[in-house]
Amino acid sequence: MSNRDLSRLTGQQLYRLELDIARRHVGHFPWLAVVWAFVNLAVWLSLWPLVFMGLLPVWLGLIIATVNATLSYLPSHEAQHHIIARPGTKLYWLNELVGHLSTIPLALPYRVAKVTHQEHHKYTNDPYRDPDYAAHAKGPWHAIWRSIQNRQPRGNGAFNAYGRTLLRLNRMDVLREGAVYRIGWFVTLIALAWSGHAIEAACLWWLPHHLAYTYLQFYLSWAPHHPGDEACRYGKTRVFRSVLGNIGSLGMQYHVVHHLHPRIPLYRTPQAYWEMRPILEARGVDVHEL
Amino acid sequence: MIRVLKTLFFYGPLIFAAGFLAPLAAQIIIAANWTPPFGLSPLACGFVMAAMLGIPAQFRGRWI
Repeated sequence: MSNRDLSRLTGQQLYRLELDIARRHVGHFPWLAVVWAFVNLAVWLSLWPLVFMGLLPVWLGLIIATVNATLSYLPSHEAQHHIIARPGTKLYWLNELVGHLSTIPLALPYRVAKVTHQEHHKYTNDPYRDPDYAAHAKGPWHAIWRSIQNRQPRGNGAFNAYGRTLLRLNRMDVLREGAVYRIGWFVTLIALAWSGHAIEAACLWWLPHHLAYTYLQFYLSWAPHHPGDEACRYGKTRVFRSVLGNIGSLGMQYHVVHHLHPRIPLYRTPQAYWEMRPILEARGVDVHEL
Repeated sequence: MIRVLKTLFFYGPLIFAAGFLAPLAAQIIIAANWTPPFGLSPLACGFVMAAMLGIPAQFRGRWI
């Protein structure tokens, strides 16, 4: 369909076309996300005996664990949106299992991620209600610095922002669960350290957690929302070309599709984007980079 | 329970420094075959290094 055809359509007609495309991509079982979640977790778990027994050097363990921690978020993100299975369906247990287990290398409690991510979708770029707003930054280096600063004990973003969001929503159950999860993570690290495995704990869990968080916040929170000064449906995100490509940017080049239709699986967002592109352009989305 | 959790998070930097960074520094010292100054043991040296990071972090609310 050419842009000339679309320019004659009303907003409602454009929306109907957009919805038709989205419907073709929703409801496909995301095998990739499920396999990815369990393989990634298995690889990360296998690092521990391999490094402890001296079969794998600890520096190599650090690199692989950082990749694992980075990759661990996206399957959980699919679960957060019930893309694997909807509540009340036969496979919902699998959706929740993927959500809970996949983020262990990242030490991120699933329910905290789920509730706060839903708020991010509802209030994207709202300085008071978007839990990811603290990731906003002037440029890429500033974004990395902000990500590190946000994770400081009294920082503005990350877990502190999630805590504030959960308090605002009065979700004390999720807040308590998140706090216990996080303390459990620290207790595990401390127990490993005092049993003579501090270097292994640092290289397989603590440093990967921080390195992966910085990467994830850069590509998932900052890059697709920069400059983040609009809150309207078609202005919340931007289409961008990453120097690391779509895989290196964890699929975020097409994040606009995810915000418009969050139940489209990650692996189908590029295809959905190319089908929706003329509609997005007609809606005023800047698509010149892709 | 909430009060216990709040206290643990409040003293997080000190707890993390003593609980994790001190043994981590000690084990790095041993692995690097480095002899700490003033006749300190690796663990004592680890505690000194962890305190130098943890105490300011506790007051400033940030590590860096």
